[in-house]
Amino acid sequence: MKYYYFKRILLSVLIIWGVLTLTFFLIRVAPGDPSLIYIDPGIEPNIVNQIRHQMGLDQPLYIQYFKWLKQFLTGNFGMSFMHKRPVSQVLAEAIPNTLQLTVAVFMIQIIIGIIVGIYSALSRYTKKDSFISSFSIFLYSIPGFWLALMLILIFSLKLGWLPSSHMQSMDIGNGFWEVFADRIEHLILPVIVLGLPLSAHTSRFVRGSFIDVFTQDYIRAAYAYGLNKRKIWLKYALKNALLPIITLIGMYLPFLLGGAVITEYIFSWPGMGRITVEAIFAYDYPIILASTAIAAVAVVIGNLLSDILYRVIDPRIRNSNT
Amino acid sequence: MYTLKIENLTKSFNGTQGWRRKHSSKPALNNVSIKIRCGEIFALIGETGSGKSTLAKCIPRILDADSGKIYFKNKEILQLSEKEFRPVQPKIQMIYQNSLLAFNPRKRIYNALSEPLKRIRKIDGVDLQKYIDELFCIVELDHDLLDRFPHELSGGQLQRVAVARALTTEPDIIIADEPTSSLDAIHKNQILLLFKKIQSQRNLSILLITHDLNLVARIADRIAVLVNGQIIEILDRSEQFLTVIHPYTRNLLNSTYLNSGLFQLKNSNPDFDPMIASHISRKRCVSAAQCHCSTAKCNEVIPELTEVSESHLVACHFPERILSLDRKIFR
Repeated sequence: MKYYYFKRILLSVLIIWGVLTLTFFLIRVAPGDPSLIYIDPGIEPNIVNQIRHQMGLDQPLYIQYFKWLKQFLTGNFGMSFMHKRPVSQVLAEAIPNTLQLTVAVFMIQIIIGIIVGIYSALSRYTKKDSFISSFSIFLYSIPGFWLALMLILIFSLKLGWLPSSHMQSMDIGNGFWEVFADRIEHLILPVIVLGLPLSAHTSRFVRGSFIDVFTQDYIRAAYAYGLNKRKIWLKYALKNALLPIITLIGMYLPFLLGGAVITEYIFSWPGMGRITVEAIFAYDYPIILASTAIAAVAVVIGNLLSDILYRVIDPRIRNSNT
Repeated sequence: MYTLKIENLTKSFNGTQGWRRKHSSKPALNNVSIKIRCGEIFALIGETGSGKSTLAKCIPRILDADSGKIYFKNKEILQLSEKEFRPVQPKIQMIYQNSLLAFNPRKRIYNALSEPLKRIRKIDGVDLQKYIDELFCIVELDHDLLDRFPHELSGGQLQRVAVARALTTEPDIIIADEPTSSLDAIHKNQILLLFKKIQSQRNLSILLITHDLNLVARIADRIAVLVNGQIIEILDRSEQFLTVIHPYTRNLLNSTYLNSGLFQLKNSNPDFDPMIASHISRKRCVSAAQCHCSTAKCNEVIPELTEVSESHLVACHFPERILSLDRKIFR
């Protein structure tokens, strides 16, 4: 067992290193030069060289790579070209903002997804179930950017009920509840845009898993020896049907930290997603690499966590040595 | 005294067909009537798709029958409401084909056995442990297995645990739906002996559903043959020689036992061709095309199950004609 975890962690470190190395070289191979964005076309060449030297861009690629790797391993993500501040500072501001949005989305997704999924499974093969299934597929296939724009059009521009962008209003006071209510108001639209399709996805998943468990012989056997319905539900069906949800949660962890790129951009939400997109357009290598690192770590940890959780909960997997 | 009486049970599966979603109905059981005596092993044989498992699932009401009656100890159970059926249900236990799927994968064997005892029979503490030990002795399993999870046991061991679990509710009938189909020959044999043992010890009725004629030959007291959702013959196994009438039954038994010696057919006639269920019409006798004694009537009317002797029923228009032909051949 120890060997298994050791192997998994070693593999995780290798994956993160691989992703970062690939990203490092790919963004440098891409056409364009970060220094040119900050330089006036009429400026003298020796000053251009000086700026490039300051940014460390005049050195050979492999030296840049090892320098960056050394810095990175000591926890120093470098200076952002665009923000002119340490990358860690920029990210430290963005991560809490992203978490506010993604945790809200995650809660909505899990709660609505599980409730709708169970309801759908209980009324399986009826008209209600077909309606829920079709509507879920409809929600899941709507492009996020379109839904976001439509919601802004209706609820912000036409009805004027909800704010269309940013995290808080300009004229907000200092009271906790005032700020809280204002934040919730700002959260509603982006959470709907992200949460509805995801909860549709989760509900499909839960439905399938429940129907699978309901038709198992051990549920029938439990009925047959006279256990009451509620007990069978809670002790047998629910616990076993929710096992695959662990995988789903593991899969969504990267989203929690990585943010939702397009939605954050449309709603001007100052989170990880928006900062990453801006960094890509501005050739801000240190930020691109740092956010890639966060995403890679989140993917690896998400997978590792769901594997470990699965092992803890399911004895069948715990006892296998794969 | 009968534990279970099934009268004219009919079940069909409804569905839709084609892009117009035209309503379609596939009959699975057609007027099935059987009576299972107290303390007997009643075998139901038939090929795949003949409706054996559907019948098995209709009895404990896992599937709802379309029409017909099921009497459990003289009490009609299909008419009962769900609440009224709850106290009856534990007395009808089922053993499934795949024993691994019949246990909650996250519960240890001890919990699987103790749950019905604690919740339904209200046995607790020292008595509970004693009862479980007793059950394990009956099914001849090592007590160390109690701490294991279902996936850690072999198929044969799990099937024994399934028998033990079925016994926890002190049932009057056990419906075993192909209990040995996933086991090897040695374990098959052991499970068979176990069935025979619990049947004689506890005076249990067992409805053994199978397509394995080996099983039937060894332990069944009576045999019913199901074809296309219809019972065509019910035989008594207590006699030394089986007097089989229906050509389909002969075919079925001949195909396996002509040379094995397990069944000694007094009147075996190897002239019949093998047949396939899908070719059997539902509008005439299933063996009309192969039978030497068939007439126009056999091709037009489905024969009803009628008594030819005490404890021998057959769905044939001319049982006497077949028997007299046999007498000529096998004199």
